[in-house]
This record gives sequence, C-alpha cells and structure tokens, in this order.
Amino acid sequence: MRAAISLQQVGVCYRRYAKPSDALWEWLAGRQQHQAFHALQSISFELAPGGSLGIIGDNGAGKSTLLRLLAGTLSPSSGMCVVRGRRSALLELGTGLHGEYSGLDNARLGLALRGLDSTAIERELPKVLAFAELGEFIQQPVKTYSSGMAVRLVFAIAAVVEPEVLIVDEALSVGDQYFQKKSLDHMRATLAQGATLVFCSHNLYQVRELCQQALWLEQGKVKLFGESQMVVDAYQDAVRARQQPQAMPVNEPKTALTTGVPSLLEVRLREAHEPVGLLPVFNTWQRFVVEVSADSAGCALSDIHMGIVIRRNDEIQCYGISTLHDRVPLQAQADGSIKARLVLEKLPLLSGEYCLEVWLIDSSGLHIYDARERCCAFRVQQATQAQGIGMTWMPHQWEVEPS
Amino acid sequence: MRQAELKRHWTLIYQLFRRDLTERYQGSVLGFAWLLLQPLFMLGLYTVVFSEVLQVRFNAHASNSHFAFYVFTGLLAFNALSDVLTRSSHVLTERRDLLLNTELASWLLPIIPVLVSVVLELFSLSVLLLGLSFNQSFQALGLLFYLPFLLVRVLFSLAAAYSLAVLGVFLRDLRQLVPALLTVLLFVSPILYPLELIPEHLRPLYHWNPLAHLVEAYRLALLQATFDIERFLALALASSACLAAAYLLFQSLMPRARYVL
Repeated sequence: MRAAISLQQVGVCYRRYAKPSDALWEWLAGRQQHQAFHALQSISFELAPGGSLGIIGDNGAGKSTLLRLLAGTLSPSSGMCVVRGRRSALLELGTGLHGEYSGLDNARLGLALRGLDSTAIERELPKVLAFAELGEFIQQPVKTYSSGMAVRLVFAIAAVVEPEVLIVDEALSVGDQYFQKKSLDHMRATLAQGATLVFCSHNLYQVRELCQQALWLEQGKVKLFGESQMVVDAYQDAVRARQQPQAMPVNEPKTALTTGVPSLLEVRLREAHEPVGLLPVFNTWQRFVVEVSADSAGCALSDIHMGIVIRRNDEIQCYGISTLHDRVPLQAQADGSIKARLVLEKLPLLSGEYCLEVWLIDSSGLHIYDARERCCAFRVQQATQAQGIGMTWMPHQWEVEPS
Repeated sequence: MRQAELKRHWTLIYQLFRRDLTERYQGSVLGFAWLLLQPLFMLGLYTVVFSEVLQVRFNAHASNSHFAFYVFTGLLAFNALSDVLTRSSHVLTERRDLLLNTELASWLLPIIPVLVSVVLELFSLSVLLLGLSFNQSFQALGLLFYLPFLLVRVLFSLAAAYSLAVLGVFLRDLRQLVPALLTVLLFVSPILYPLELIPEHLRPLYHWNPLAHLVEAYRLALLQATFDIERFLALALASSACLAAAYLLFQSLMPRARYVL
C-alpha cells in the first residue's frame, strides 16, 4: 500500500528581508539580501493510510511549519512532500475566517477553499451549522465571536469535508470542554473510517491517546520518530532533564575505605533490561531490585541503617524508605561488608526517567555516614496508557452506582 | 485544466467576489442601491454643470446634454479601471491570511477587483443607456459594438491587477502612489475634454495612450454606434500582450512575495 504521507529529505527555508522591497531588488539585481532561516531540515518519514501521527516538540521547533507543509499551504524549499488523498487542515486559530462576514458566509468560503463546488456547499452547509452549534450567532459577523466560538466554526468547516487526511493543530485547546470532547470524538471517528490523522498538540496525553506514532521535532530536525508511547516518554524525559540543572553522575564503585566510618561500596540495579548505550529500563509492574553493598568499618551494626529514595528527573521524590523505618536489622559478612537488597515485586512507577539516592545513616536517622545522590539512573516504560498517567500506579477500584 | 478543477476555481472566485461586493456596501443605509445611485448622481451633476452652468459644446452641432454623455462615457472606462488599480495594489496583503493558511491559488485573487469593476461598469452603463433613451439617442447597435471594448478593458484591467498586486507586496508605497498616478492618467487622457482641444503638435503623444483609444472607442460605439475595427484589433493585441507579460511577472514573483507577505 502506498503511503498516505511521504516526506523525503524535506527542508523549508524562510527568507528574512529587512524590508519587503529588498526581496524585489534581490530579484532584479541578483544580489543576496536575505537572511536564511531553516525552519525544517532533512525531514523524512512515511505514514500509511489510516495511520495517526502526533507531532510534538518545543515552541519554535518547526511543528507549525511541518503542518503547513502537510496542509499544502507551504511548499518545501528542498526535498519531496507527498500527501495522497483529499486533505482538510485546521491550522492556527481563526485562519481563513473574516471578521466582517457572518459565520454563514465564512462557512461558505471555507468550504469553497476546501474544494467544494456551489451545489456541494449548499448541501453541506446544514451539517456545518449542526456541528458548530452556534445557533443565532451564525448570522452575526465573526468579529463578535469569542475564540471558542470561532474555533467551533473552523472545526465544523473542516469536519464536514470528510477528508482522507485530517491535519489538526493546537486549535482545540481554546474550545470549551464539551466542544473539545466533541472534536476529539470526531477525530477518532474520522480515524475509524480509515482516514489518516496528523495531530499537533502540547497536550502529550492527547497525543498518546490519539496517535499510534509520534514525531519529535527539535530545532527543525527529527529527533525521534516511532511508536507514540515511546516518543512521548522520551520527550517528557528530555523536558524534565532540562528542568534539572546538574547532570546525573555515573555510579562508580568505590573501593573499601577503612576510615572507621561506614561507607557505601556499590549500588546496583538488578533485573533491568539494559539496552546498549542507554539507561537500564524497567517495565511498570515488573520486579525491581536495588542491591547496596557497604562497608561497616567496624561500626556496631545496630547503628547502621540504609535508606533508598527514588527520585524522578524533575526532582520529585517518588518514594523513600529505610531499614530504620522498616525496622530491618543489617548483617555483616566476615570481612565486615554489608549487602542488602530492596525488592519491589511490582514496580508501580509509570513511564519516566528516575534515579536513586542511597543513604547510610545512623540509628537516630540524623547522622549521615555516606550518601550517593542521583545514582543509578534508569527508565521506566509502561506497556500501555491503560496503566494510567502520572508518576505511579495506585491500587484502586471503581464503584459504579447500579442503575 | 480538468473540468472539476475549473468548477472549483469558479466557485471560489464567486465566493470571494460576493464577499468583496458585500463588504463594499456593508453597514451603509442604502446598500446595493449605491451601485445605481452613484452613477445616476454623477450623470445628473455632469448634465447640470456642463449644459446649464458651463454651457460647453465641443462642436457646433452637438446639443449641450451631449457633452454630459460624452464625459460620462469616458468616465465609464476610466472609473472602472481606476477602481481596479486602487484595489489591486493591496489585494494580496489584504488576503494574506488566506494566502498563507489555505490552499488558495494566488492567481485567483487579482481577478476579484476586476470582476467587481465589471459590475460597477454595467450599472453605470445602464444609467447611461437610460439617459440616452430619455434623450432619444439610444442605439441598440451601439451596445453590441461596446461589448468587444469592454473585453479589452477587462484584459487591460487584469494586466494592471496582476502586476500591481504582486508589486504591491514588495512596494507598500504603491497604495499611496496609485491614486496620484490615476489623477495624472485622468488628465493625460481625453476624458474630461475632447481631443480636438489639444494643440496639434501634442496630439501624436495621445496615440501612445491606450486609455485614450479605449475612451474614444467607447464613445464611438455607445454614442455614435460605430465600430472601429482597426482600433479594436490594435487594442486587443496590446491588452493581450500586456496581460501575458503581467501574468508572467506575477507568477515569477509570487514565490518571493510569500516571504514578505
């Protein structure tokens, strides 16, 4: 099957001129007068018919440019961009609406712009009105509309066209809850009918829910393209990591010290998948083991306790517990070393990037013998969105009032 | 171009045209009646000024009211053209939103002011015909002879619209400049005065003014029911050439224009 959307080495370069007239003189004289700005560079991906793609990335990463490209309102400066099938695009808010005209006139023009002829327009018009639910306001000039009403109208126009490729930008975020749901439902229905969807949103939850695949744009380039859960997770990790100033130090084993003060020797994660060159990965609900070895340095074992804190990379403490609080006595080997494991049979953490803090404390819990902060970075990957969103899975049940 | 595509373009042109025309009279008390009232007022004014006040007569046999028709016919072509010229220099910047955010083909936009000008001209024409019938000098044949020249006027207007539209994106000054140039155009063409008033040695210059020929042709057709075939062929050729050149300019500058819109 041929791809519904296929981009090969697509680049978009905007030219910036100091004055509009410079662009004309450049054409006449042939001397370059512009500054080039590469909004997109060597973008390549394919999307099969019926697929759904979410586009994520920071502001200014080129998301809107990519959407415009797909919508056909912009042509690439280099490369090939092919979109097969009738497309309908919902770009920035209020585009294509003219403030002075009534909602009705705007709907007519909007439909004409989407390639309908006069008879088709009059046939589809009632559907637009029904979807937009603007009531009497449809006769009023659009300039009197609130932004929510305007987006209703725009979405209604885009919705009735029954596109084979639907392209939706942030637009939805301004509608009220009721309309947001309605338009999301519509997108889902359009997808169910076999259409292809490209959806761009800062709402990562919606992207994960609606899209099978996701594309992460960073400074005009594809950072990551693939299954949406994976891409969204990676993007979230990156955003969190940026919020945290220091880099995580690597976990380096220390050789035994004989200073008379108990010290940590090694902290290791067990039972993780260890992809080459990447962080160890745990799945939500899998067995999670941290193994800590320490040197008692001749100290009384009753005065040594271990604490472990799991911290997400945005500095949130997820959970911390110690042998002191759990009242677990430590034991020493013949050489004075201590080995203990923290075991979580069913790791409740959800997708994200985490690290550990390990403490060696005395029995008062106040004195710290040794500590490793931000060690053993690892990732957690949840299998499905059905495991929930947020940081951790919580035991729960639903109680539905019987009818 | 496939038929379906043509039909779609036509629908789009019609919708844009409708919006444009409604916009013009939006909020006014008399609305579309202005289409008729304006030329009616002008013809009445010319009749009073030229035949009662100034008593102008451009030759001994003609009646006074004839001069009012003479001026009005000239302005028929000029006003329509001037409307196109003033509108088209900012037709692209006004529709920036549509151009950048929808798949709208840019070459459709300059057609809109030309279509509007045809509507304006036809209303003025009907006022003229009404006045001529009152004066019992209406000739049906003249109307037939006028139509080919209307086509020439449309071709010239399109040429002007395409070049001004795309140049207007780069040179925002055009918006200020065009009205001034129009006044010049009005005075270097024999519209408010007959060509006979011009000194002999200056007349050859008028040969190079297509508007002068167009105005003459309008008058010959509508007021005297004569068809100047030679003039028609020359004007048709010139206007087609202008349009081709203007369209070429438009298409080659348009990709650049998008950067600065």
